[in-house]
Amino acid sequence: MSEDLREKLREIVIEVAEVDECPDATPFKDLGIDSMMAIEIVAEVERAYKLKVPEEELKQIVDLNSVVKLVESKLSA
Amino acid sequence: MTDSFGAIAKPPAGAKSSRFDLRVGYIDTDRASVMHHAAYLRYLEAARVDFFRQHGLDYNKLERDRGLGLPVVEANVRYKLPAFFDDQLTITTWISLVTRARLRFEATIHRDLALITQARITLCCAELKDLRLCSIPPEIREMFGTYSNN
Repeated sequence: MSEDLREKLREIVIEVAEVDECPDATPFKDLGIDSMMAIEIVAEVERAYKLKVPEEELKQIVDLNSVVKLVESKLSA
Repeated sequence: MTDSFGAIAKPPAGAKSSRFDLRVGYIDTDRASVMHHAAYLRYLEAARVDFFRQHGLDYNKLERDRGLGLPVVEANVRYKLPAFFDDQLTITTWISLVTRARLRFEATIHRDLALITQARITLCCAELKDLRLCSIPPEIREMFGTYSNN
């Protein structure tokens, strides 16, 4: 489940940010993903998993691992 | 019909749009009496602020009361024909894309029936206190999202 989730989130990041790859722990900024794109990624994650990410939690999004952690915490709440 | 950067030549049916009239000022022209390319961006901005006003969003209030600004993050302008000192121009403005992070505006500038400029300007949202990027407020997305069109 967790690996499935990770791979689906990786797909979302790659598609939304139009990057070739998205390693787990590579900072988004090193992939050329800026803060505006990070918001777009969160919006797509919200849509895909029908969850809400409040404004104050956006800054937690720095790499794929942080996206997975955030989504897991929302889905298990 | 779209331009090379994907700009649309006129607002799609049902889109909220605005019309902004202006006359080219002497200060905005060069030695050949042609409107300077940089001046278009100021007029396009004035037209966007007017677009917001016409559709119920007071931009000044957004900055003053909410501490939010909508800075430009991308500007594409296609200059098709020159405009000259004292020309009467009309800017038509509409929104073609609304997301949590971006508002994308399209605009055309006409002199009578002649299309002289097409523009696509993308804005994001930032907190003015630290210029940190934030989401476009949901009420603004809702205000314009229904009419958005890719």
